[in-house]
Amino acid sequence: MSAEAIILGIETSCDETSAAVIADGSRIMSNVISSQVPVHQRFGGVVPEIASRKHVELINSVIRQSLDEAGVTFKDLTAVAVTYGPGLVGALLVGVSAAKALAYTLDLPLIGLNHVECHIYGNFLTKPPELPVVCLVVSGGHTDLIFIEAHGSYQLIGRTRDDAAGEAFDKVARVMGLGYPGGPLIDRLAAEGNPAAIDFPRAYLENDSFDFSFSGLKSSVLNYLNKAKMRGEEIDQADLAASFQGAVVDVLTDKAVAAAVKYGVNTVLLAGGVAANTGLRRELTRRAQPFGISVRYPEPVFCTDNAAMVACAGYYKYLRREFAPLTLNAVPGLKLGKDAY
Amino acid sequence: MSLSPGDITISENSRITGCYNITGIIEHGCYNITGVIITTGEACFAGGDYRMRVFSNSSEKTIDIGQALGTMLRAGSVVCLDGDLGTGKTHFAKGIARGLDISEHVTSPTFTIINEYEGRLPLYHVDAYRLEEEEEAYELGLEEYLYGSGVTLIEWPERVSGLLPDEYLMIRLIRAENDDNSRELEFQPFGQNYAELVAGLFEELKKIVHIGD
Repeated sequence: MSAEAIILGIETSCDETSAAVIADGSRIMSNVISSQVPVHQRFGGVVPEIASRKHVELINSVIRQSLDEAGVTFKDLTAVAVTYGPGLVGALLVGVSAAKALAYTLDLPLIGLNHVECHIYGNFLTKPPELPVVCLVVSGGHTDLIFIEAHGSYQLIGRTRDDAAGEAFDKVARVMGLGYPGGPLIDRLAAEGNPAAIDFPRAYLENDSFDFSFSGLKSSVLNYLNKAKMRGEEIDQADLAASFQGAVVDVLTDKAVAAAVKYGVNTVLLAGGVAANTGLRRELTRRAQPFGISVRYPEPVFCTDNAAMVACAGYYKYLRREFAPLTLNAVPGLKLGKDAY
Repeated sequence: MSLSPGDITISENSRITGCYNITGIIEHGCYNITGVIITTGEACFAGGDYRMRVFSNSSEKTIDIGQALGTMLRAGSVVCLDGDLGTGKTHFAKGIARGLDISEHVTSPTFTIINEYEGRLPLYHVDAYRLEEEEEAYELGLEEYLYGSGVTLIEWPERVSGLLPDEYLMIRLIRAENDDNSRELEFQPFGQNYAELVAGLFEELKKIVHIGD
């Protein structure tokens, strides 16, 4: 165990309370996720006050369990890493306060991380890809294309101008009466449908833009449903899901591949909750291949919010000795690559 | 009363002294404003229901209308945006942000609940959709935004109706029946300040469409 950096990661930015212990950025000793999805299911979304209260109730036992499963004690830790933004302030504060308390009492370095940065590092947990890369971060709150030249160097080259991809999935699933979370439900249904059944619009925006827009697509699905309802027509849910997903995936893959070509990288990383979408994984891999670009994505458990990715991102920041002061605070609107402490 | 494009009539309200009805249609390939009733005098709000309706036939125009409103908002302004999924609430918010000289892209706050932007005035863009109880909005610090020094824009305001101040502007975005891209925007002021704001906005929108050319 000598010379190992054993990092405790803590994640409470949204609806998961999670703690993980990772050695040297890649040996996953534990990754405890206390998912709150069952609590939120009946609301059709994350409810922040409930999220904060649940985080407070769970945080100590989740941290305790992560140490127990890893077979370590507080004394074995090298540093404490925590997500401090972006996210819900009440939720973030729980993790940040816990991490600060631990860093202070154990006299350990404190590492503050951006949630999007952590998602990117979900790809570094197993076999770290060589840099530079282009990363597509797709989740309920984000749709970002990021050029990563070196560790800690992030250039945002494209982002959504309205709805995030995951949000579009959730909203369309809602109007289709499928439930929450929408991504996996639509993905499953889409596998049985014909993606060419309905010609939904693809928003590519300006010629050289890497930005995304999904609100027009959302409106088209709504209009399609309204028209069918007025005419009393039966809707093929599988075809609708497949056609909607196809429209989202087309734009995401086209822009990700174009960005990889423009920035001359050999690897595209997928990250965030929507990176678990099988249609997206398959299409991106297929379309990147002719360009000699390989596509990497984390295992599904590391796509959704988890603390293993926090500890992993923390490890690379630990190597750079980029530590946060104990005055670290939750920053709900934190921007990638711009630490705010 | 039938109106032709460009006609604006101002008449004294027969029921309430000191109040005026302004009615007009502007049709200039751009906007269509009908049935505007703007009143002055606080007493008017006791029993009246005053609304301005503006029609938009594209998301770009919805942004333009939002921008016209944004330029007129003041510190402490509260604007509620009501409308179904896909009626253009985020587009209207983009316009308001433009009118507040905010350069950052305004994105949907559904996931994050509250987005903050810096401009001529700070903009607090709130989406209350995922709030189940008003207590949750209270926990989130909504009141601090509402009585703060910025502009608070609230989507799905019915979820937090008990926390709203006495005076605010309610805007409803309604999908047109026969046209997928058209929306009716209804402005309903609550309180004297917001009635004046809507009256001013009416003048602004008249400028945008070059009424009476």
